[in-house]
Amino acid sequence: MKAYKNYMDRIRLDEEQHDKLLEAVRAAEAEKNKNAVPKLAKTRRFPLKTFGLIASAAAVIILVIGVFPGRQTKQADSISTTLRNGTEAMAPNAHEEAEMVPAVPETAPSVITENDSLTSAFASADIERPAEAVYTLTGVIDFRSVSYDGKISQTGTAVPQATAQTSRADRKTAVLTEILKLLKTMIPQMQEAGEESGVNGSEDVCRFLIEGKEYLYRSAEGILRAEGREYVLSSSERAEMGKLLNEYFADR
Amino acid sequence: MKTAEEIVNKYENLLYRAALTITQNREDALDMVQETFIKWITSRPEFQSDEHEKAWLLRVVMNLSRNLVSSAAHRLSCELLDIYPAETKEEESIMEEVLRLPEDYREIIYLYYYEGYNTEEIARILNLNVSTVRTKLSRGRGRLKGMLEEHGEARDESL
Repeated sequence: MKAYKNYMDRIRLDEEQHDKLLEAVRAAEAEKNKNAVPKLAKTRRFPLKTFGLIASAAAVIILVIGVFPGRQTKQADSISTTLRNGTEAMAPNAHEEAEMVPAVPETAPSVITENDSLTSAFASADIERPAEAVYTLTGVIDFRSVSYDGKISQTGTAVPQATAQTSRADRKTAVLTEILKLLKTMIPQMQEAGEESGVNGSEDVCRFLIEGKEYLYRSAEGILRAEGREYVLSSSERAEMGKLLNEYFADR
Repeated sequence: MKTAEEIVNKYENLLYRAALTITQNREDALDMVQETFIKWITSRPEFQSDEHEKAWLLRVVMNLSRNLVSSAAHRLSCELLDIYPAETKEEESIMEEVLRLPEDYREIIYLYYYEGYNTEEIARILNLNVSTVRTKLSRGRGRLKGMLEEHGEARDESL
């Protein structure tokens, strides 16, 4: 096999290929450094796992209550559908899901006014209205924000109206962007609320949002499905959303 | 911690050869090398030694190349001998025969004869059973021998 070795020895990248490769790798490294999750000095008061467990338990309870016919109200149905759609592992069969999926909204989403309490906003959220569904989604923060006092200030959450003509990709981008915008607006308000109550929970929340991306992915999928669009984010879309998320929080 | 540039300078040719062995296409091989380095950048794995690092990179580039070859995106061609012409008749014969081998034989032949890994190490890199590696190596050698004999060029004394 000497001839084989001699031949293989001559296989090398030429200078141009080497330069191109190096350039691409440097760019990837720069991108990685740019998107690195910022280190927060403050340590978490509670491990994320705990909140994950609480959130999962809540989702299961709502799901179980939601599947008994006659016991579900319209609101509970809406919320459980959002949660169900956002939890792949718990997805019902296609027939059931088709029945539960609401139609594409015809009316423009309402704007949520300032200082609504989280609880009432959550209860009144109607997933047929994307803006409110986004708002409902952010209810997950309630599981995490230890210092959050139940008040939330939120304006201008109008999500672009979905139409039959809107492409899936456009809709996805609109929803993701809207979620991120909304979360970014909420952070300072949560910080303020935390300071008022004497506990600064914003770092915890920020870390949760960065580390708990899976939650957001599922919620985004839930919103898209709630609009009658069967949707599962692909890994590249998740990566894209993760990147967006990091970008949003990097400049904080 | 090594920089990306150090890693590229150290392993680019090794990974290029490995990728080319499987894809047999220069552009595809380059893409796979680049993809491997990007994977290294994004995951930044901790290695116990240089040997461990090399084996990890080889494993990644070979997996990526295999995936590519089995996908529709693979640019089908066998241009290796055009791009890197053989310098002797012997080189040409052996390379023609090697390139005719199935890809799973080719990669084992490459790792065994060129990179000098033993069958246990190859099994770890390719995530195969040692017995599978031995069988494929033996069959690969047998096929090479048979092909070379068929062509009346029994230069297989070293096989």
